[in-house]
Amino acid sequence: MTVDVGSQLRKGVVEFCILGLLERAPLYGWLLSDALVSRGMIASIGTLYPILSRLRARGLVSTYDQASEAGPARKYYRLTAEGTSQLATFRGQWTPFTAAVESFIGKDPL
Amino acid sequence: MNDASDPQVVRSYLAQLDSALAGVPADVRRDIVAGVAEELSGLDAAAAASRIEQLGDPAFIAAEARAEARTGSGSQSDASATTGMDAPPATAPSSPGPGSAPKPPASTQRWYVVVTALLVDFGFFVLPLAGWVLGIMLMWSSPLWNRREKLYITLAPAAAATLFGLIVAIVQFATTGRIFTPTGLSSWNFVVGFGVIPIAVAIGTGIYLSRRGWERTA
Repeated sequence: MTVDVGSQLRKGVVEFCILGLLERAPLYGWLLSDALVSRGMIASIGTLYPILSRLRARGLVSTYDQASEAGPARKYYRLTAEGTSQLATFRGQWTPFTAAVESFIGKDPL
Repeated sequence: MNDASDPQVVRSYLAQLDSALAGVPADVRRDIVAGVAEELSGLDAAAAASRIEQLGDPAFIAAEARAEARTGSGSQSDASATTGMDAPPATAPSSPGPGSAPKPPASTQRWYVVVTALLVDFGFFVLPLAGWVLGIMLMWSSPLWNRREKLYITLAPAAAATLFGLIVAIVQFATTGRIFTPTGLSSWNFVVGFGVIPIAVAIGTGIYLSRRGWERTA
């Protein structure tokens, strides 16, 4: 059975993609899910909430309720100071990491 | 959460989702249902149905949540070691081991993915047509694949054969001016169109099915 490299890569970075999205603005679950599903980072909203639960338990995101124009209050997720710090650390490692990998595998000749 | 003023389609979907999420850590289950309810609230039946179509099968969402919760409980110790934080109690119930975590259904197990993929891939050769049909039935019985994937895998062999038939008809029309000629389909066309192509496509979709199922049971 061939290892699905894409799936393994996504699993490794999806938490930081969520932190990156939340750094721009607090978002509620559906918007996060929509952004991640549309770019193939997660398969469904079912993948998102366990990750959000972990991020919250580790103190990287927090939640608050905000009334919506129509319907009930929505639960928004936002980045904490610890989350911002973890994201900055990841950013600092990501560029040299991808450069190092690229130096081994080269660019697609096409 | 499940407002009586919501359309029936919403109440029914939320009830199915909540039921499908049995066994998922309680806080995650609550968050998923609440998040979906927030999004569906206030929509009319048509708009809600469209959103529900986007969301997909409740069983598929639950399978994804279960798989991700398992992954999280496995990697939590690594994350804790990095951050110096304790593992959250919320994920503890999903930890593997002799605890009280409910046994996941057979249709979400890796052996099920393997059996289904083998039947879709090679069922034709063991029991002509019936073997493949059995594989397709197993696939439809599992929440590991979403509805779009199931439709694609089910219809692809017939669609490929139909496309081949159309191409043959167009070529025939271009060369003879008639779609149906006295010679009709040659035996070569028949073997390729109704044998080689559907089987090759079935094998391709079987490989795709196994990869999607495998990563969701990782």
